[in-house]
Amino acid sequence: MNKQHKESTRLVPVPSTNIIPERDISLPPILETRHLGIDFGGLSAVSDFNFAIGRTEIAGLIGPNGAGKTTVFNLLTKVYQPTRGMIMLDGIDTAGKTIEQVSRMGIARTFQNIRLFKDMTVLENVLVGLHNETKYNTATAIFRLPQYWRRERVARERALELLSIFDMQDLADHKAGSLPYGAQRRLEIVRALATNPCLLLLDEPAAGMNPSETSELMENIVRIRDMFGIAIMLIEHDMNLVMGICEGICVLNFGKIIAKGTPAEIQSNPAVIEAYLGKKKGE
Amino acid sequence: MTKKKAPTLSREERQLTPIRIPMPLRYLINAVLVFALWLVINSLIGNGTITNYWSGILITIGINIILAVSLNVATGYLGQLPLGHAGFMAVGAYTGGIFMRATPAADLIKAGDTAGALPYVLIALVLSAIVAGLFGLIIGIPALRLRGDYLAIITLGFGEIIRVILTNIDSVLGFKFTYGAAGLKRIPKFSSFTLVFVCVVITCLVIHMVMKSRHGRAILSIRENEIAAESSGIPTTYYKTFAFVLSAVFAGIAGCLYAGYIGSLYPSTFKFMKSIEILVMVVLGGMGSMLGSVLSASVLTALPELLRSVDDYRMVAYSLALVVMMIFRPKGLMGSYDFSMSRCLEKALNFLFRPKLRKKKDKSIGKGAGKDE
Amino acid sequence: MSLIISQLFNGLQTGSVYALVALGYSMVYGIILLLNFAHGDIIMVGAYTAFYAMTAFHLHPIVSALLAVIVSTLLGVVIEKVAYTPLRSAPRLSLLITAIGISFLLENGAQLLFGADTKSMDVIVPGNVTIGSTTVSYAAILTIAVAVVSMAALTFLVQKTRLGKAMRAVSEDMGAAQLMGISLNKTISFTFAIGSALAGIGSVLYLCAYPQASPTMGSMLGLKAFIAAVLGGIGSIPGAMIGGFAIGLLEALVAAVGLSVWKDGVVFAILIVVLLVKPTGIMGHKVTEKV
Repeated sequence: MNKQHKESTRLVPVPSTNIIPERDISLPPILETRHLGIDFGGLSAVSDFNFAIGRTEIAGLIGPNGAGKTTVFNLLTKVYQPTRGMIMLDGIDTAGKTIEQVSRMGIARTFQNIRLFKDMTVLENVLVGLHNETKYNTATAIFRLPQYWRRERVARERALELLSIFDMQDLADHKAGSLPYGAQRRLEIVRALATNPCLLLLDEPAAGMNPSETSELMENIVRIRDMFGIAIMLIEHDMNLVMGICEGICVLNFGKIIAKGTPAEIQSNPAVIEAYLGKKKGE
Repeated sequence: MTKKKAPTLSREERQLTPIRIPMPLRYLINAVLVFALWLVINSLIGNGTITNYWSGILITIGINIILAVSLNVATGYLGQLPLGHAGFMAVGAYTGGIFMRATPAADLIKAGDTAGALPYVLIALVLSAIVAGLFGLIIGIPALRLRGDYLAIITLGFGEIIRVILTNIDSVLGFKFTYGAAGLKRIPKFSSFTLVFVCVVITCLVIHMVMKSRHGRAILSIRENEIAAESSGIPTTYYKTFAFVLSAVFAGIAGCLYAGYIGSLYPSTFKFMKSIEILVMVVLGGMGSMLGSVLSASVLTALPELLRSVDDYRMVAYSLALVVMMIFRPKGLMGSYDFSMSRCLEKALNFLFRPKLRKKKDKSIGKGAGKDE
Repeated sequence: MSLIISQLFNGLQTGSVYALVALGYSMVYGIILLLNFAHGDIIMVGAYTAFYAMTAFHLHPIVSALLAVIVSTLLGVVIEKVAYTPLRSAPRLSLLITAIGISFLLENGAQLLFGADTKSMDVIVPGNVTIGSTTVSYAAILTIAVAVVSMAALTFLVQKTRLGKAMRAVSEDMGAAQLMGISLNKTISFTFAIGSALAGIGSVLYLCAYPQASPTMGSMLGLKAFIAAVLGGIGSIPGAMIGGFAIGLLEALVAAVGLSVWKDGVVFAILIVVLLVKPTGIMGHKVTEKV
């Protein structure tokens, strides 16, 4: 597998460290991007994004505001179609796929500005995530055949089980829009998990949370990884969270990767410090 | 179910478990209620308490309920604003009308043999549904690529084109088909109260069953947040088209019933104005509430008949109501609230037989209010 | 040849009216993203005003025209203040339904007040001019001239004046414009005023072409003008002008080949094709949703 990588990347030199994940090195990575880039009206928002995530890695994507982090998520989930480069999910090229197809292939995500189905109940939100696992056709639904009851019951039980990860099963019948902010963020994660992903993208999961909520979230993220055996990639500004749970970190500035490595490597990287704090005068 | 379980629970526990009516019983209750309603109205028509004039209005109400409930699928549940619903109705009406004229049903009905004509009527209804559904598909696939205002406009355009075609197709094809602006006349009048009633029940039932399933949830999720729905693996294009076709199918059935009630069809009946009239019913009732659609369709159909003298003001009142409603109560009279007979029964039963639960609930509500402050 | 030229003038004449009305749609859409369904009916009110001013009060055509423009302008602003301002933060769908409601209110109100029948009057601008073998009516020339002058004035207003700048700023970013000290209410009302004034001019020019008024005259005219605005790219001022003339010429063409009963169908078909191929129209630009 490693050989293959070298062969396909030999023509164009890539910073080799960028496409080696920090965890599960012995296995092929779950996600790999090569020279990924997108232009908006001639302006390059993300370019030459080479990255790989191990099968059960927790990876962080950090960078100053406007660095293009969310754009990377949008590229991975096909909200935007990339101008250049390729995205390989578990060895399969996602070129030409739609948002929905990529979701079915195993990428789930949350959104920076929470996008819940606000007028639906908490349970229904999760059930929408379980849509593709709850299989029965329209006629079965109209005539309420036994299969309908069976599949609906299974889905309901599964949804409550998923909600119990965050201890939210008692909120099942509340309107999603009526939940407090933190619970809404957690519900979004549950909904994403319901799609049975192999890679979970979290866009600022700790935004607006207080320190105790954040530390609880950190535990939960690690727990989810261990429970489901999935890779998680997260965008976050809270450095305690990022440095605390991420195995690999990728730093983006002006749409380009300026550093990649373990938390310790990133913290001592001069390019990162410069990007965050600015250059000293006279230098 | 509840009875079997009961002995294993202690008296105290039983007092705290809310009574739940099991699913099959719920359906049974509703079925009995619907049947009772039909029985009452039908016997009133039979003994002449409800005059011919009023049974005609009841039929019109039924047709309008089907139209409103079906438009509600696309407007309330899917969250789009199609303005060509009258077009689908026209397609269904002309399909049913042309088919019925070609069959011997007219003679059968004239001879009083409604049972003999029934197979033809059923075929006409199914045909109308299919043809309108096909039109829904043909129009929906391109139209649903657009959103919001653009979708409203493109469906308006399609609706008008259907009308222009119905008016002018005969002169192009060179034979009598729709009879153009002169109107398609002498359609056998097959729409009885019972037929319309059954169609209303089927419409509401099918739409309710679809909406309370994974398909319905998918449609609602698109209304709530399209990108999130897509990211959750919902094939949004499929479900948008699905909802649109579902909406068109029942508009077609309503059209067919209309043809069988009124007996002659004119393209000018199915103008943009008709689409708006249906939209007003949906909006006033509350977008996303089936009960709302049913109620407002009934009231808005019956009211002008009760107040015949102010018929001139009807459309003025409609449009004024629409504007006032949007400004002061944009969610409609019923909001997205849907009525459930069995849920009300459950509540009543709990209130009567579970006094402790009542107290507990009061407490929890009190707590909730405290938290909000 | 002469037939083609006179058809061309016919097309330009109706096209001018469409363009003037389309401008109103486009400007309002540009500023508050609303398809102002009531815009077509403002024309109807303008036409009735001019009609009664000339027939019942025997005012001079120019005075009547001015009166029509003033009434239309006031009506546009009042509609905006009463019906659209309370809904500024409401969902777009509610706003659209309100606009449809206003449109029907005006139509049915007019029907109640003036009767459902079409009211006809004498030709306002009689006479033809013959150049070579081609005959063109004075009305056509006047219409085209007035339309071109109005559009030139509008372009100047939007590009060069303070209010024009405010309008453009609000349509770019309502929040940012407000932070820069631009009065939102004033600018939006002004936009409605300009749009409705143009509709008023359009209504008088329409009377020059077809000297009659009816309660539903605005709906089809409005729809066609709206299609013109979409065709040109809604929100774009030059787009609306191009779209208006294009629809006018297209109709003249369809009529010239003897398919006038299909005229409306053809126009709607064009709309559908444009929306499907290039939903943003000829001059419009795409707005992407931020995720």
